[in-house]
Amino acid sequence: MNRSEEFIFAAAIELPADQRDRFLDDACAGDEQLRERVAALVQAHEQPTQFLDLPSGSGDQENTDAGIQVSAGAVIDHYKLLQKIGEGGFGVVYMAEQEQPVRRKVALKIIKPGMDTRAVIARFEAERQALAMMEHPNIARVFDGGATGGRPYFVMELVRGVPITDYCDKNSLPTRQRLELFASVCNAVQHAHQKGIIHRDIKPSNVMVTLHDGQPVVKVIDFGVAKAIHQRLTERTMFTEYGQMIGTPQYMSPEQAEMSGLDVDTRSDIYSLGVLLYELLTGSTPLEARHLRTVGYAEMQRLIREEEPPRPSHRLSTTDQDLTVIAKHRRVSPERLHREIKGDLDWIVMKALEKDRSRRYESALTMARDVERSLNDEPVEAGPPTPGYRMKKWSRRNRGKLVAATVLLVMAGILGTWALSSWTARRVEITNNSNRLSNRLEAAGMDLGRAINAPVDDEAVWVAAAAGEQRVRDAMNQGPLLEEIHERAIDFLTRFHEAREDRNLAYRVENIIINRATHDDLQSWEAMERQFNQLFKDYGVDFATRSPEEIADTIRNHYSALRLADALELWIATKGQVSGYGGAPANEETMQPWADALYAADPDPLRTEIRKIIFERRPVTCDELESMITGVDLQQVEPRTLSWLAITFMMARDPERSNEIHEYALRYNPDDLMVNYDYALALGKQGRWDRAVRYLMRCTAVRPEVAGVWRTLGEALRENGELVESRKAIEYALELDPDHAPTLVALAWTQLLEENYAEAEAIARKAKSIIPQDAEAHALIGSALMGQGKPDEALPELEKCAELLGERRPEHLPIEQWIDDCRQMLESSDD
Amino acid sequence: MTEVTRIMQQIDAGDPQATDQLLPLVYQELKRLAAAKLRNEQAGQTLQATELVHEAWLRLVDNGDDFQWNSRGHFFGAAAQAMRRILVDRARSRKALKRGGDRQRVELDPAWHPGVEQPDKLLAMNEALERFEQIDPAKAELVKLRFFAGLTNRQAAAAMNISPATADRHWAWARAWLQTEMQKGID
Repeated sequence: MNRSEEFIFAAAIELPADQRDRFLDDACAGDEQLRERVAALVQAHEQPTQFLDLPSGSGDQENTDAGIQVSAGAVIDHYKLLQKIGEGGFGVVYMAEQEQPVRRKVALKIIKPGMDTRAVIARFEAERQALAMMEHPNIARVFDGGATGGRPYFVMELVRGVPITDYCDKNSLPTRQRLELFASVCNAVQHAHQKGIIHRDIKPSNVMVTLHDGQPVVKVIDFGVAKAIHQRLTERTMFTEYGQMIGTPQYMSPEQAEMSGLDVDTRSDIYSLGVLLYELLTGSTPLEARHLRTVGYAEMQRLIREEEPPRPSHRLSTTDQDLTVIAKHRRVSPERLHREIKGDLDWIVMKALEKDRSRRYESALTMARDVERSLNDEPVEAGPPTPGYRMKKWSRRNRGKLVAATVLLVMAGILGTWALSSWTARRVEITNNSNRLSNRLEAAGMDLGRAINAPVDDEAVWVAAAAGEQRVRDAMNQGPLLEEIHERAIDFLTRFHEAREDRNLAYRVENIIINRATHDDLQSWEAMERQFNQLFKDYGVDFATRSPEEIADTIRNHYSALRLADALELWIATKGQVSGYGGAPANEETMQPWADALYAADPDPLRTEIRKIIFERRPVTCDELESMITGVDLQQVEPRTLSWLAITFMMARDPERSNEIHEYALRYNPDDLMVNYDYALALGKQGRWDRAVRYLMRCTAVRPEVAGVWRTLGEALRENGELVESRKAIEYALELDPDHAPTLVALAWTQLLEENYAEAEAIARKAKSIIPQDAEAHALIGSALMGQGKPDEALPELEKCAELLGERRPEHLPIEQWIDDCRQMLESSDD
Repeated sequence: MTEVTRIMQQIDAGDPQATDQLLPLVYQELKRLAAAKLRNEQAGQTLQATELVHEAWLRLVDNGDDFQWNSRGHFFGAAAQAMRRILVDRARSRKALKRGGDRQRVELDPAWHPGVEQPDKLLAMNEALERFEQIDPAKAELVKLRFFAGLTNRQAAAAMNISPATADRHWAWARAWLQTEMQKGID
């Protein structure tokens, strides 16, 4: 049987949009027709369809975000809202019509309902005040402000324009005109700075170009995150309260990305202006958006702080985009474009993009001046002011007057070069080799960062990272290198190796848990213990020969300390289960040294505390848990730990808080397998199988090749009364892992509930043949026989089940009840 | 006791024949209501499918409020089916009208269901739904309740005795499925 379209569809729509293509490739495994069909379904899912959606009130779905009550057509004071033209995290902007005192179209910005918290209102107010202070032809003006239903709004000049980059490309503006527009952006920003206002979110969509009498006019808009220079609204509170960075990553200055509390000043805007100019010249930002999106938050911060961008002219010659296309947008040849940008403009941009803000332009005005100088072929302030450079500038202005002088200069140059050549040859070689390696290290470092921050299951990023590593190795073997670069390369290779091993470990541990952890028989738990023993051995930890203390020490100092500690915990739990099912005995006394080793092994104190609670199963109160996490920045906590924290809240009998924490963890890690899985199981414990299904669907999207995920999904679907789907999911799990007794048992359950008694019996018998001691298999055989009207054959199976269970009475297996039923059936048939 | 109340008690008691008796009664009532409503309707006011169905419920069933959702589910199932018939008939006659055929009086206002205005789309949807019913009758029922009877997700879930989260998930699939099928028909 093939996985049905429905499952692939249901899983795909659970994934973030940018991961769906890859998932569909995997899930459809070369079946082009299937892929096409599912892709069409997913696309249909995304498309609004008024026709199908309209008849019913679809606004009552479980997970709808706070709706926006203010909508087009409404009237606020004397403004009539016409249409929504923009939406941010907190506010919505409408085009509105003003009747009095003048009839005109304006832009009205209002806080979204439910977003009107004090911090947001303060920020909103700040924007209004900032705008009101400014008066400049290149800045949108504020006309009015007020509040409706407690929500503040303000009214400003309606800017009907397009982002500056779009305008330039659509009109194929040559470099010169781009620079002229850019200079007026600088002037607007300079005006704001003079009024003591920092924009903090300069990017193309906030720099619009409108036409005034046919002439393009720049309008800087959205001072939404602007801040008066001496204002004391700390970023920190905004950040932690909304878990959101202010600004747009590609355009954000290093000090802004840092969030170190270091005051962001006007020079941060200079940096963003540098990014904007970069984009106007090359068509891309120094750190490309498409790349930043794929890396995690920490890596993004690192890139912004540390990554030296290539000079614009260099980007032009290495860009993925077709240089001829970019050049066409400027109406010049590619060679000419490259020449135009190389030199002055490179330096102007790079000066604005200095990581150290004291080395940037000190004001937007000085930057504007430099841009104007380059337009006039005057020497610019930025860049290396070598005599040769000044000469070139001067000569361009005086071309034709200088032939004789040039000849002389060239002669001098040749003589000088010749004398130095033997010394430079080797130097040039070292420099070239080192530059090559340095470039490759840079690229490979980015790929590795991306891979580390990607979910464990992202295969493609690791393929890319491995290719990068190979290129670094090749470059290392190509001749002499600078010592410093060589060391960097060695560091990188170590980092790469450890990161890859860490990922492999995570993958293995997760698979062991999912495939085994819901089992109910000794054999499975013993198998799990063996798997863990092997895993530790592979990572240099041998339980047979080392003491718990030694092992704790090894783990703590291991590069995969966190993951090995996780594995150790699971190993301990497994030993407990083995003992519980009658295997090798383990009691508190024998296990205590291991528990202590575990606490010593994990370098993270929060994790250790949570571990203690889960592991010791001690009663815990919500207050205790809340105080444990007071002062902890949950955003810095890795997802798995959050998931455990959620489980401790389940133990404290606060399912709501538990779910809240899981939802929080998933908001930032929507595709983390274990968080989804743990959340699904927690929901199942709450009887919310209807919701658990959704997260298990996501698990199947994240790691479709693991049978346990499908089995658990099948069980959840069964609990939710969807028997046909349940059967399909479990059958798929069996395809992946054919003779897996617990999966057979799960299938038998579903068949039993579907009243397919003969099938249920056959499948349960197969499970029994694999694990003769499986109590559940016996119960299912008995139950299926009863369904077929054979209570006489059923009774011994049921009794065997009771015997195997001993003292245990799993909730889902009311064996006494079944035995009673069976006896009654026998009696009535005797009559 | 009204006839509908009696039938619904039979359904509750497990009589499978009773369900079939429900449909014609609900159909008649809905048709009558829709026509009557529209005659009295003030210009500009819209009439939703869901209002019609609820009104029919109140008129046809004694002490409507006391009924359990379970049997309400049967009623709404019948109502959805009845609405479907009315709409499909209308769409067909509209198309016939366009071709200059049968000059039937247009007795329903377009506002009451988006399907009325787009007869081609409605017929395509109906055909797609017929195919979907063969594959997945339970999810098709959800579509009927939402699309034809105008129930919200929550109401439809209650009528079908499933959770809203499950209904959401089923709707996502049904909606995507129907939309791609309808697309095929157009291409």
